[in-house]
Amino acid sequence: MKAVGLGLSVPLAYQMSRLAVAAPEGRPTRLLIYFLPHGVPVEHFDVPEGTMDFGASGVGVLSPLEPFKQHVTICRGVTMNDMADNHAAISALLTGFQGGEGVDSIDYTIAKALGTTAHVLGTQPYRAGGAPDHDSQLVKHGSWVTPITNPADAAEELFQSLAPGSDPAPAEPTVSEADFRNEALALTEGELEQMQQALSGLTAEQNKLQLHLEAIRELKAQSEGSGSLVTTCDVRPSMPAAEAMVGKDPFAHANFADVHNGHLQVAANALVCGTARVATIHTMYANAQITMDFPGGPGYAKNHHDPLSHSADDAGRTEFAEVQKWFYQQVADHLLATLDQPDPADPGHTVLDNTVVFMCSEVSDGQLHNSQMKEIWLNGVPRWSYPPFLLIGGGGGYLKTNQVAHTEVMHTDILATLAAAMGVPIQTIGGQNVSVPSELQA
Amino acid sequence: MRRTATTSGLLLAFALGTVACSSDGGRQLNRGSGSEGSGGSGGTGTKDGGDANGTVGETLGLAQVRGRCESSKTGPRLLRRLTRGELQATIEDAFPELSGSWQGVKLSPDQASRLGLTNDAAVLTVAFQTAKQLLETAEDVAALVASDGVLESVLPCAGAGDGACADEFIGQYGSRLFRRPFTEEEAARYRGLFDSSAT
Repeated sequence: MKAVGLGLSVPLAYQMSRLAVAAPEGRPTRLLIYFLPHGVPVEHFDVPEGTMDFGASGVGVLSPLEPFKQHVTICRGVTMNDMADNHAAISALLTGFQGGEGVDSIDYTIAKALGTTAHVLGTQPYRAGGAPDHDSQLVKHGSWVTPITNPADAAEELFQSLAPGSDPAPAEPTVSEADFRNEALALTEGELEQMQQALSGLTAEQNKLQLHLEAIRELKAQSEGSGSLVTTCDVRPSMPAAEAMVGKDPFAHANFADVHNGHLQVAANALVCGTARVATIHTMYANAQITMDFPGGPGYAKNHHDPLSHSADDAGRTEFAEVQKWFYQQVADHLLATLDQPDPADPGHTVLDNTVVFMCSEVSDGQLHNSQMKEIWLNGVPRWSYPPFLLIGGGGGYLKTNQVAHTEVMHTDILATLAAAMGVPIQTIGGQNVSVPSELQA
Repeated sequence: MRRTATTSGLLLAFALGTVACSSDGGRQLNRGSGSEGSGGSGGTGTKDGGDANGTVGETLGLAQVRGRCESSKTGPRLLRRLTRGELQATIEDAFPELSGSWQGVKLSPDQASRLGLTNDAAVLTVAFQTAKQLLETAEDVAALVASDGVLESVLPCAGAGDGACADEFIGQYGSRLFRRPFTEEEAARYRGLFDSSAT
């Protein structure tokens, strides 16, 4: 039975080693995925043909990104793979397949190939007082991941090697403590291997145990991880919104803005400092009934999901566009502005030059619930609706930016683009061939 | 300090090995048959990712229900991960000395199945995030148990730091943490870890 376990892990190890070989030398790339549910009213988002005029359409959802325009690519025309549609598409967004069956999300695939950790932060990423469920299944690392919900906790997680302010850094674990940990993990690994003998003929249970085994092995391997960046900060940067959340309830409505912006600040600074290389920010969930009148927010006392995203009339769609624009503004202010500074690890470029930020949603039009490129009629005028996918940043020089890319492809090709930009090209996702659209490559 | 650290390491191994994942040890468990939807409380499907607690929305007549009860079969063995609450209770029960000082398990809320159940064995797996959080929980508990003032209470012989004391600890806490009888083989395995750490 032990051989079964080893046999299953060998292909994975081979794949990882192949990916590692493919990684380019030099540019210290980073990946940040930002998820915002319920799509966007295209008439307030799209730019006129042949332009990059972010303020030309309706309320101009993209206009907050104007200062970073030279780093932006609008991926126009993408369709969700596996016929994933409507709210259920959230599980396919980063895995490529509905339900994420048998596939991990792309952040994890990339992080594993790089030998680093894929962090997951979330602003009310599931129902307050409830449990994470299928509406919140976005990130899958072997199983669905529950994001860190308080940015104060996220700061501890992503900056654990850096003490706040000028305090001395916490002591590294002694060698003997590290040894104990590894020996304990090895003992657990052995127990799990032995337990497999009791599961003969129970495929589902063997798979479950194999997942556990691989997690333990990854914990062991992580202490020797070589894919992390060199930490370039001496102390933890100031992150006011995250610091304001110490000891507070991340699900309290009044704290929504601090939670959201705190996560952006933590992720941005961690990417700059090199304490994180791959992170996802999971903002709300499909069907999120959270009113948009929290302090510091867009000021609409209506739920994000219904009625706002379901709005069919002009007035309602304009309100929803204003709400989505507020989120884009926060991304600009608390993420992109921080990344747009010289890269401490590569002073010849900015951190944004070396980063790929993927802004995405599970549906195209919140009212129509389509997750594919589709012609819709608005006030008697046909328009193309497509998932609002943006690539922001140069991806270490891999990506062509400052453009509208006509990428009429399955979204798994966009996931492949993220991997390629991070230096770990992939040819398949879930057994399905993928490729990087040439329009996206520099 | 060495004896403290060694005890801590042993405890860590206990926590990792026991609370993370456990099978039914080969016993047949009478749980619901996923495909038939006939399980009682906690019935859990056995197909990958399944929430097979019966067909959603299907209305059965009394005769059909009786018929299904008569044809019910014992379900296959399942590998169950403790829920967040079960893990919390297990540790609190094993180490009441930590009351007031332990912050609790560091596990994220348990994921819900499609039917909203948070104790579905098909959903509660141990992938990387859960394994990492279990490790952090185990290290927290180990550090507290091995701290001054607590260790003497939990394990009066700890000052000796010898193999006999390790055996006492394993014998006393193994079953409580595993929530089932502890085999000699398992005891030997943990004693081996102690010996390895102590040298």
